[in-house]
Amino acid sequence: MIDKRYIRNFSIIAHIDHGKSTLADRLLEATAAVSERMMREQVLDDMDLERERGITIKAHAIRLDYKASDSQLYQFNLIDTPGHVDFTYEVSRSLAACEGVLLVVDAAQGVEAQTVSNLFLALQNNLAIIPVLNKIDLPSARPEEVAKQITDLIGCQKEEILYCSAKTGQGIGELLEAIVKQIPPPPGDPTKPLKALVFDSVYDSYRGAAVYLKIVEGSVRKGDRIKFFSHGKQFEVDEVGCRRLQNMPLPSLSAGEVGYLYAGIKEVSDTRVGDTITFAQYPADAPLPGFVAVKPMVFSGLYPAIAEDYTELREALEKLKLNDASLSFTPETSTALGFGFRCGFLGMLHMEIIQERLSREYNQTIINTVPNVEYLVYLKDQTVVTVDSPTEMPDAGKIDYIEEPYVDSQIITPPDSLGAIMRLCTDRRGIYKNTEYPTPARAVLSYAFPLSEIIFDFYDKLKSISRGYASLDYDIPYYMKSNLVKLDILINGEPVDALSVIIHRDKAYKYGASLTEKLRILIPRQMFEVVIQAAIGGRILARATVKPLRKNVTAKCYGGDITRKRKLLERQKEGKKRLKQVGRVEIPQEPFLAALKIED
Amino acid sequence: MSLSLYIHFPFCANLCGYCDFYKTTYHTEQEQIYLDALRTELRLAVNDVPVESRVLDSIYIGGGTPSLASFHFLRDLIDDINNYFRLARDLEFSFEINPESLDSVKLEYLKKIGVNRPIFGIQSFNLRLLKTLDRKHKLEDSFRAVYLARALGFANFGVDMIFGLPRQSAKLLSDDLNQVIALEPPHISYYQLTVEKGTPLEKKVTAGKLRLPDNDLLAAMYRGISEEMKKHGYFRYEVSSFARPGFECRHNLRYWEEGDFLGLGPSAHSFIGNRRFANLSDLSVYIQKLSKGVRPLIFDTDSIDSRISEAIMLGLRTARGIEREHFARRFGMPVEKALREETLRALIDAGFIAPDSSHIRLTDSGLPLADEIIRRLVK
Ligand SMILES: Nc1nc2c(ncn2[C@@H]2O[C@H](COP(=O)(O)OP(=O)(O)OP(=O)(O)O)[C@@H](O)[C@H]2O)c(=O)[nH]1
Ligand code: SF4
Ligand SMILES: [Mg+2]
Repeated sequence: MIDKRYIRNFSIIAHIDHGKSTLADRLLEATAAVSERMMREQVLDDMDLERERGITIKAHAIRLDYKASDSQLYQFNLIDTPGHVDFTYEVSRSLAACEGVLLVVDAAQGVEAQTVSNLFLALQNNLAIIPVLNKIDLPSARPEEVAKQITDLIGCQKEEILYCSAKTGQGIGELLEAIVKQIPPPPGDPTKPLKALVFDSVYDSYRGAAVYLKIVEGSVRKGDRIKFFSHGKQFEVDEVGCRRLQNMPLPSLSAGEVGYLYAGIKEVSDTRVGDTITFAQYPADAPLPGFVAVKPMVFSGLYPAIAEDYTELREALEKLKLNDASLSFTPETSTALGFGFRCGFLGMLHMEIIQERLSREYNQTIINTVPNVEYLVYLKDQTVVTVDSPTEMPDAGKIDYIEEPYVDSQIITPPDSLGAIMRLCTDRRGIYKNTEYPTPARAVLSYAFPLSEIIFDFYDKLKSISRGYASLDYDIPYYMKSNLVKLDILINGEPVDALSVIIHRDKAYKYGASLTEKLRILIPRQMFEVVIQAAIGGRILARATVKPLRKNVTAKCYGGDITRKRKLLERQKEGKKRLKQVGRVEIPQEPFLAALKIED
Repeated sequence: MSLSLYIHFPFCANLCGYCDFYKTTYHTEQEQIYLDALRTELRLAVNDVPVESRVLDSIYIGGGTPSLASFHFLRDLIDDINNYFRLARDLEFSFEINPESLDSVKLEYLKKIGVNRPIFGIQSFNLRLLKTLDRKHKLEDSFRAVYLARALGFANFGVDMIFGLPRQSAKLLSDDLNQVIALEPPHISYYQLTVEKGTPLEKKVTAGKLRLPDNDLLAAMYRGISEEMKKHGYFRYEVSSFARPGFECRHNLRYWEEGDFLGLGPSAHSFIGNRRFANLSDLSVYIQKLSKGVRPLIFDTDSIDSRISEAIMLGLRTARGIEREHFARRFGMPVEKALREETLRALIDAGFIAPDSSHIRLTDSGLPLADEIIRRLVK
């Protein structure tokens, strides 16, 4: 057992893309944790999707050995974290496993919204903070200016900031020494009953879930009977160890150490991030603070493109869920799309990732409905229902009023884009709070937004109107009353449930008009006229028609090649399985997907 | 039981950008090698035809460009056919001709060897439109071909036309239509241009270099053609086939009514004894296999469902429609059983299908939508 005095547990936090994973690469290299042959960029991002998108989706822990200038060998436990807001909770739990953070700031971009919110998280967890100014090799780097932003933000001295480039390796030596000197060794008493914090888990089809944890008190070894505080289920430990680039089994893990354990846990939903593990027989008296069961914020219906693939889709979702406790799904049916699932996601990025993994890893072609948030509907009979799907919306006549989730948000931007940003915020029903100028070069705007208005494309819009400089962060949602309506799309008079949305009354007309027009273009001509209408209750807001098809017949049955013509027919019949039927109208996938891309 | 014979001549002088028939560029030496292979194939194929069926009531030589074939090629081929088969007294013998490769000597020769139904691939009378098809003949070639056919006393002959060409307007179509009707051929095939996968034409169309008439214009063109034909005494007996009474192409009807036919040459198809099979579309494989005495065949599925789909698909494309009694005899069930009941009812209500006690057929408004209707109808 290593002397706790020589352990350093830390996370790298930053705004998205400021270079966390690349910095981790340099630390790995400098400590020879990875051979030259194995080295590649952002080596810890090992999921295909992470590598392709160049972003971190899951937290990654790794143990490094560092021989410091005092000739002492130190054990570093490094946790690389995702930068995107969808994963804020994961970051907060990773931080709870650490005693310090490297707060990385891109020297060209400066302090951004997630820099600020992640810093707050670190402060709340009482962590030592090492400010790192990264990417100083960039010609566009503004080290002086950004250093000033950092000292203003943290209240530290300019001299405390480390200047480095995760690309060239400049400053990495100093950084390693700073980790030893500035981050305290972990507290915790190895003789007390076990208390371990779960900060991640990964499913392994052979061995069950691998639980990543930090031992806060006590110790754990193979053969121990453990239980989880949140649900009380018990397991016997098969193996404990630490993460190098691969798992490395160890005889035990004890207070202060970060590592993994296997205990034949079949479902990742049993290993929730933030939960506390203790001994089954001699449990600790209380769990570690800070555990919340993460709640999905965005909901969407997922349907197989071909009805008969339903079972496959369910199996794929079940498998994904094994690895992702924050994904939720329940069966639902749609008259247009058949059998599918209502799925809950942490946010839009999370949703995109799940969809991409379904298609890539499980070969599923899916149609998803327009995502929405969760609404509280107060009925006239004094009851309240939660609604996470437009089809569940009660009749307008029964509704007293509806509440939707709002979030308090901060937007950090150079002052020159203020005007454009404020116009965007107003357009998104933002409620203005105030503007602060921490430095003359930066404005911090506070707004309350309906969550539904900012989770979709707001961030991209914000980035584009500020030429990449503005950034956004928001807190946990709360509910407020709102003037919402359910907008339906009717095709030849029949409502298409999968195209219904819940929308603010002021935006309904524009949305209805642009969706009907899009559908007009995308619904193929049929043998008769197709009328598309957008309606609220019985009131028609917009209408478009698809002209009937006039000619569709192959000119020639080639010589005696009847086979070819028949095969074409068979292919068309096969293709027909992908067509959704609304009354007599056959609708392919595209119109359903188009609804996802309506500008409002 | 009699048989129809198709022979494929897989050579052309130049290759047209819209065409996906199997063909290669013509060379004299290749033609000779091909002749040898073809004669071997004929010998082998005849062995598989029961003796009592070795009676031909139609022959069709197509391509490619069979009008490029040398006299020697044709003579040897016809000699073999005469050796192996009995020819029906009223044999229909069609032969495809590209107008630019025709002269009076050749046409006389064709008549001498028994051809009694030349088909001229005129396609259009408009030079600019012909150019988008890469066709090389001139207006005068077309007129001369028809003139020669009449002068040599061919009572029956056909003209093939295409509509729906890139940049073809209603006006240009109407010009073509007037010209072809003025020639008064007993038979006219008027095909809509199909953009076939993998052709140079398809590339140009997807690249946006050529624009095809839109669906409404195509529908109007087709309607215009059908009406004009009717006015001038042509009967539409299949989607794209128009004939003066008694001049329907017996050979093509045989395909559609699913009589037995034997196809020879690369890419040729056969239907004998309820089995469909075809030759590989590859001249060198064809030659190679036959030099070893093996037919280069691929067989289609034997499934009854396939035969049923085909019968419906083919039947609904003809004016006669699906003959109930024939269908029931062949498949042991009424035709309605093979169709989606609800769809059938809706299509009858909408006036696209007109059933009577003996047939199920598409109406004039149904025929232009045949593919759409068949797709919805077939179980
Ligand atoms: N020039 C330069 N580029 C850098 C430096 N550090 C990182 N980058 C680049 O910045 C981009 C983002 O780097 P990552 O390491 O993936 O950033 P991240 O913070 O881990 O991103 P997320 O995990 O998505 O939040 C990559 O293209 C890196 O190559 C640096 O010091 N200099
Ligand atoms: S269209 Fe006729 S001439 Fe042109 S390549 Fe095809 S077969 Fe040959
Ligand atoms: Mg990263």
